[in-house]
Amino acid sequence: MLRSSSLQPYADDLSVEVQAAIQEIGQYFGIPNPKVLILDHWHVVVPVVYNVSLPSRGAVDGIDIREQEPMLIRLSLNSYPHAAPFLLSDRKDFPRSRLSHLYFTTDDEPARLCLVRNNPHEWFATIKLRDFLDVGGQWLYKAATGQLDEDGDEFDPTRLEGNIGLKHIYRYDLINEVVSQNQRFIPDLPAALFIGGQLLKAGKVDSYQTNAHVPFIVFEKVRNAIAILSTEENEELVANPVFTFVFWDPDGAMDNLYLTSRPKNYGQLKLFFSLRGIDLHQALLKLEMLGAIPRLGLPIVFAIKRPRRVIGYNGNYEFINFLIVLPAEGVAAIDDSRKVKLQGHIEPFSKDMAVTLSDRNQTSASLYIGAGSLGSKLILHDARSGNLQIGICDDDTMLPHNLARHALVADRLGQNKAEALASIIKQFYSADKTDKITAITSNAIYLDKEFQEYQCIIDTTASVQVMNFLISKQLPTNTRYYKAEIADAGALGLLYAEGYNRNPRMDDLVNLASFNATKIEQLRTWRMNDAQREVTTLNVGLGCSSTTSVMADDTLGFHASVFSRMLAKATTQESQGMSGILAISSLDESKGSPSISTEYLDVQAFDILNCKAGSGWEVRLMGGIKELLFANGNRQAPKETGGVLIGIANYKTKTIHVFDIVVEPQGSHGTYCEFVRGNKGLPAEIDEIKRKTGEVIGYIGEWHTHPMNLKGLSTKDEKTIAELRVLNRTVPIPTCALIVTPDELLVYVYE
Amino acid sequence: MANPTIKYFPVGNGDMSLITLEDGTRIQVDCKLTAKSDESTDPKICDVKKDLLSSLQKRDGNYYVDVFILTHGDRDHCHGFKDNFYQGDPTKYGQKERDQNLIIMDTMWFSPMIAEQYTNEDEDAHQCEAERRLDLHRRNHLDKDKPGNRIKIIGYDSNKDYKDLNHLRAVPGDVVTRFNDTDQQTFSIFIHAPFKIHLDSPDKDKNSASIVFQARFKAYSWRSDFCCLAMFGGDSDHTTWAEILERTKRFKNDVNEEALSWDLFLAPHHCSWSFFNETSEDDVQTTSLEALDYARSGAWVIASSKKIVNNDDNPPYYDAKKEYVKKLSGSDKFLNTAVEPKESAPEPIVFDITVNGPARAPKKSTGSASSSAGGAGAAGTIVTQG
Repeated sequence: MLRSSSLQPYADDLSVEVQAAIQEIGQYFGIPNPKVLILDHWHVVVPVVYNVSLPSRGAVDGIDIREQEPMLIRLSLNSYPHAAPFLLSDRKDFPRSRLSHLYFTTDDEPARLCLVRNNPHEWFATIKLRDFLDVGGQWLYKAATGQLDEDGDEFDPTRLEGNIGLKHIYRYDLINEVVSQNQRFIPDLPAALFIGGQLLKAGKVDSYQTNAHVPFIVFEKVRNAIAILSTEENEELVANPVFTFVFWDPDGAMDNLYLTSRPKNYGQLKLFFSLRGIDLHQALLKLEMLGAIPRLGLPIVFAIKRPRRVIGYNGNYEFINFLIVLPAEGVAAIDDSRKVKLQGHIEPFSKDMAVTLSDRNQTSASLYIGAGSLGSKLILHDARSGNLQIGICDDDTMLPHNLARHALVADRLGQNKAEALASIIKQFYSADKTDKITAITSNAIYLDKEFQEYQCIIDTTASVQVMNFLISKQLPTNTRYYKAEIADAGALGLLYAEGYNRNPRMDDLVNLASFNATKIEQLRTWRMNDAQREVTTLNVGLGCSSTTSVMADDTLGFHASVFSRMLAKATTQESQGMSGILAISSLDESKGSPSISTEYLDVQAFDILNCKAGSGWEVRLMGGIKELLFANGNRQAPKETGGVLIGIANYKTKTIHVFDIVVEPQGSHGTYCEFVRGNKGLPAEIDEIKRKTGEVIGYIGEWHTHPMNLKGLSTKDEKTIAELRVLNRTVPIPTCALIVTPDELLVYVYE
Repeated sequence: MANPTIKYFPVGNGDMSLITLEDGTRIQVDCKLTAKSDESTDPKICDVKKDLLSSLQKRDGNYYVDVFILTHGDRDHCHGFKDNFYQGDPTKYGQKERDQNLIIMDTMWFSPMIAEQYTNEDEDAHQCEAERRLDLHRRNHLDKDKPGNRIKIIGYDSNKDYKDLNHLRAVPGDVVTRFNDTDQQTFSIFIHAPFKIHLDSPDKDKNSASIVFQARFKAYSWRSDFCCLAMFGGDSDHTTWAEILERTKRFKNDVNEEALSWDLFLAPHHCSWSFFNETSEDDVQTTSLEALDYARSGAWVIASSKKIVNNDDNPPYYDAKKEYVKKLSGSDKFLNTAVEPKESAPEPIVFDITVNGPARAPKKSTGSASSSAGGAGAAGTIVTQG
């Protein structure tokens, strides 16, 4: 009963590699001259005998594994060792129906051992032939000792991989639920209908996807919808809608045997069903009569009830997927010789799968403002990680030059970027509810009620207009505003996140990045380069729609990846008392090979002072400055002290951001009733700050103390302010005077 | 859960075995370790320390065995105990001990009869550690039941009196089902020896006072039969076995507990003739042969010894092997740790315990990757080049 007895010896030349393998096999099994037999046009086999150590009272469960197991080692004539060898049983009566970890084969083929879960060729590339042969021996030992299934509480499904190329994509749970609950389409038939489609764009017309259960009550509506769709001339149709029929044993019989015969034609398929109590032909005629067979391609699934939960799934059913291509005349005209194809099952990409595969902190409901090159990459990172609550706002269309860096590809040219991305994400998650993936095709400044839907606002526009709009907007309490931009021709990535209760606010953080150029070299380089750069090439974002933006996709991708990781991390911060974030990623190629680094700064809340003169201006002091002012006041009291404020003023938002103070520049002099602020060396000091920050941060006002607790401007103060206003208007900057009393800070700002 | 296993280490003339239960509980029987065995580069010497460590579990980064059973205090059963097992207050186990890979014994099995005469420093260390633990229990110390302080007394007292600790004791005829503070549903140990009679024996020696026990595995807790019975006899001789037979049958434990049956039999005293009789000129004791007749279908005998050759060495004794083989279904059922799988590179003999009895497991690892580089062993070889 050995298969090798009917195989002919191979007499032609063998490659050096195959010869070496045969020699090694001979040494391993102690065979001086191993036989080489022809298996088929592409393969030879070497018959060997494995000694299997059986338990003292025979193989477990009476499985027919013997102490001497004749096996065939299959070698590819042309592709060994790049194509892995396979281990086949030489026995025609090998107990294949009772063993897991076998590739699906039929009775007329040798049983083929599945030695590794992953790609066998990839595995073999990492091991020696001797190891492969060892593993073969271990397989047989495990089969004999009942250890093939590492988790004995689960049933290893039929291994169809490598045997069939056609695919049927559906969610196991979807079909399992219907089958387990015996939800029949019509009472006298153990079958259910599902709607899906033939995947036209998959490149293989025999690939199908099944998406939803169709109970009889909604059948007519679905059938009519399909009929309309089928008549539409639509070149963009990605799937031909079809019904999938799922059958199960009417008696709920359990089957623990593996398939060893594969119905190859309609006659054999009918027999397969008939053995399981179903008259397939009559069933199909009935379904055809009801109008449930709209196309020639007919996917049929049979659910086999296994004794235990099937490994990798949430149920006991194993599904075998068949495909029949009907003759044009319909079911009645199918003859028994009509070919039946087997399809492999693939789980559709789903939120659960994405979450498992990504193993990343999940971001909350996120509104992305800007779906340009940076935004598109962040959006897809987020979506691929399983976030199905994504809003995308962009009024721009995909243009040819976007192909250099955008995540979208050429088939989306001319389409609105937000819509294109939303539609792609929905296609990822065909098996999930995707109604929270939304595209907003208007400009960001028209956003209003939409904010209520999201916990994260992620602005990748690099637009000051958008930033100012978002600063002015009342956001929901738990919504956090993030902003990402790439600067310095790709050398620098900046990610900002507002703090609790929007403090620090986004403009605080953006200006702080400039101020930190006084301390951090990468920021200084950026700021100084920026000061000399044309405005159009400053940042990637909206500016990217200009063909003048020069930056490689991989550079942008690097920063996008870092931002995405930072965003995922930032969303885990406790909301209460949350500090702001200024995160810096840098890519330095000035010394040859790329050098990358990141820095992560926690930014404490700013102290906010409103103008006492009623000008509507607001002064925002970086955390720590208030304390510094009080400390200086206390130290010099009862004499007055003072100095200048370092920061920036924004006329649009009527805000002065203060990041530092200069205390008593040389030449200053304080008395009990006045403070004379000197200027020796001060201009040079300010100029240096301005130079380092790219002309962004500099002198922005005066501060002095009122140790006698005068809570207002003195006459002298008013006079000085009047003089300064004339001077400052020429810059222009507003005139800001900050009074430090023993217990209060008072600001006066005048344009 | 994984199948239970029994591993017999190749330690020459000596014993070291590891029983691993399906819940991961590890029971080590005897040890023969050299302090530097894990640095050995000779392929003929199996690095048993390295293999042992790879077979153990870690808790808080520290190696431990649930139970350590010393059958008796001879050097070939406890060599390396002092240097490889942690002795002392488990709360004081620190980085230094961790760096030395010292193994914590959660529970010790201790026979008061076998360790009162000082013969070697390892035995002495074992005795001291046992007494430390016994003292904690005697003083009812708060930490007495913590892992590393647990102890079980096997057999009877000799010179010292531990009667106040009888609640910790198991004697011949007892079945133990609780190991390291956990009840086992599918594993138990039947205690055969040492007997009280050995206390009064004029030629009292450690060998005849060995702890002898039967490890019993069930496929399922509800089954009344055993899927594997493994006999561990230390260095017990034919007189002990005659006694075991007599007592077991007298109390009907051969029937009620299947206490004499075996699938795996660790040949006592490294396949020495002493299991069969005093001298080779004497006839084989019928009781010894009778004990072997309790072999179940497909049973194995394991000789934990150096290579058995046809000469006058004892142990291992060639004629003893012949006697064992007569009782087995084939000569391949007699395994000598020194030559398995091959004499040039011995490896531990491992049995998986299946529902149909023990099965000898093939090598688990898949060997080396397709590319490799020599390590300390390769570099340590002196090479002369012309």
